[in-house]
Amino acid sequence: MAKVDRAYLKTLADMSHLHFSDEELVSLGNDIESVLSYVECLSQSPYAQDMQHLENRTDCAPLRQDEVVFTNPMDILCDAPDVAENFFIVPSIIKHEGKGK
Amino acid sequence: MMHDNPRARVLRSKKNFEEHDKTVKSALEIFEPESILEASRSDGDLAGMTLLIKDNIVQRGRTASCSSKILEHYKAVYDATAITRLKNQGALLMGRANCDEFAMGSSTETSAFQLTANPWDTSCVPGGSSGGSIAAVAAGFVDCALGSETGGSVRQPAAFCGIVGLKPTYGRVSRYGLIAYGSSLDQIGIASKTVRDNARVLKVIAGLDPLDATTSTNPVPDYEQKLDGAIPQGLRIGVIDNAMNAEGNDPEMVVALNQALKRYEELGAKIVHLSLPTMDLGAAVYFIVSRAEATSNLARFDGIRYGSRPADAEDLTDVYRKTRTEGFGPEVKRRIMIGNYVLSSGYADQYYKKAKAVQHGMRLEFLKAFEQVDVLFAPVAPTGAFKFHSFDENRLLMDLQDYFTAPANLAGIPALAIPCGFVKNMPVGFQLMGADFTEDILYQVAYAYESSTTWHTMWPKGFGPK
Repeated sequence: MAKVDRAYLKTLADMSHLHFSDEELVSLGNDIESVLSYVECLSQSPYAQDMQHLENRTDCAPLRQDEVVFTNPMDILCDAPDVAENFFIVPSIIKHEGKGK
Repeated sequence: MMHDNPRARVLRSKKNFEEHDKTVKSALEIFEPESILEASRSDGDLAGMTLLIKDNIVQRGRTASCSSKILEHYKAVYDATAITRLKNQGALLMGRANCDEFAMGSSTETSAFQLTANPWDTSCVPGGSSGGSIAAVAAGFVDCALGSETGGSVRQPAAFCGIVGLKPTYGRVSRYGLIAYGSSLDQIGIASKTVRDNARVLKVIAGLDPLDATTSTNPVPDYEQKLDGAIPQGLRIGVIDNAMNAEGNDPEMVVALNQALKRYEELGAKIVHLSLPTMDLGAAVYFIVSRAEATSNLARFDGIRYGSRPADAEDLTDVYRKTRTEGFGPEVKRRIMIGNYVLSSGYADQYYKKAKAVQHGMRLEFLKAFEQVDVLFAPVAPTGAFKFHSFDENRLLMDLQDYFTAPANLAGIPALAIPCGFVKNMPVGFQLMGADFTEDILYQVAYAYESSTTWHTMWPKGFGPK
């Protein structure tokens, strides 16, 4: 049975930009453990160790021309939660001391 | 009926939704008739055909929520290529279909907005994730619907609701405008009451698209041409024995599937029994590959460019975290976490790379099988439709609904679900799988069966086209 370290799960939650309560983390850990235990069956496959094709791909999708296509900025901005003129408003990244935002 | 004028067809479909969708809840929204008529040409190969569109396929000017709170107010600013092509051929796009949130689920229960019921028994699920699309066709509200497939999301509900469901070859239909879940597996799929209608829609939406580099240059045939009720001369059907005999299959369903095989023998097909051992690993491969891709695809939903932004967020990271924590439902969060786990440093070789290696082996096994047979035959799901909340306490069992369907997505091959009777008063179906770009053969073989049976003429009590 696969074991998932709960502290590591919290790190993964941070990486995923998700917050879980302690109770949710326990339940999530159990769910992930049951999936990881199930997928252990893959080791039985004779193909499981054949990684060569992963490195020698010849069937990649073709790249298209990197052409500029005119788009009305308002089309792009119409779903944004906060805009000013033709720009997305992004919350501050660096906190100013004493101001919070 | 298809020759009625488009306005009459739109009004009739809308009335049918208004009167009967209260119990099924297949649609998230039915558009105003005038806007439906204005959006499409009045003539074309699909003139007058009504369709419902899964809410992860974008329609210009309409909401595209993926049945998620995070996109509840998102308005699409362009049409998916499949939508453009439908509109250009006169199809009438009635509205948006409910689905599992971001197409993640097998019962349509993970939708943030409503539970869709199976029209054959409204205490049962319609399957998923394209449950709204499929239920609307099964109830006769629309002629056809678009769904999407990543691991079986059109075929499984089609079998549960007794209709025809296609997962095309990867690259057959453009994914431009299909909101991504697992990009290397995703395909837009088609739900219809009959094989012929399915073929008509595929003819329109299939083909090369400069906006999706993974679309194929393979020419699009006239899929209706071979629909004469006969099977191809010397057809060999390969029955996947390990799927037919899998643990957990409803024995009565297997009887119905064997009766379908008997019918194919009567129609002149040669039945060949074979085994595809790697198919039994399909669900495991799928759990890893799809979750890994979902993690990546869903990273874009961060409250900056779309979605509502929490008012109390302190800084950028807090905006991301609060937007996603409040906006995504439990199943989506679970899949993001599993995806991040299997991709994370130290685990990628153990899980993701191993799954990709087995996926490659699975495709090789399918290609080898198609040297011996023309089409493969297997169950779609282990049972018919189940009751709501059956798997609330065991998510893994719910995930295993993809057991027989995910292999076709992983191998990239086309697969078609066809109804073949009823077990415990609920529909069941079988699936045919073919080599790359053999949708024409799948349709021909399916149509021969359909023409010799009456399942496609039956409607759930109280439902049907009005």
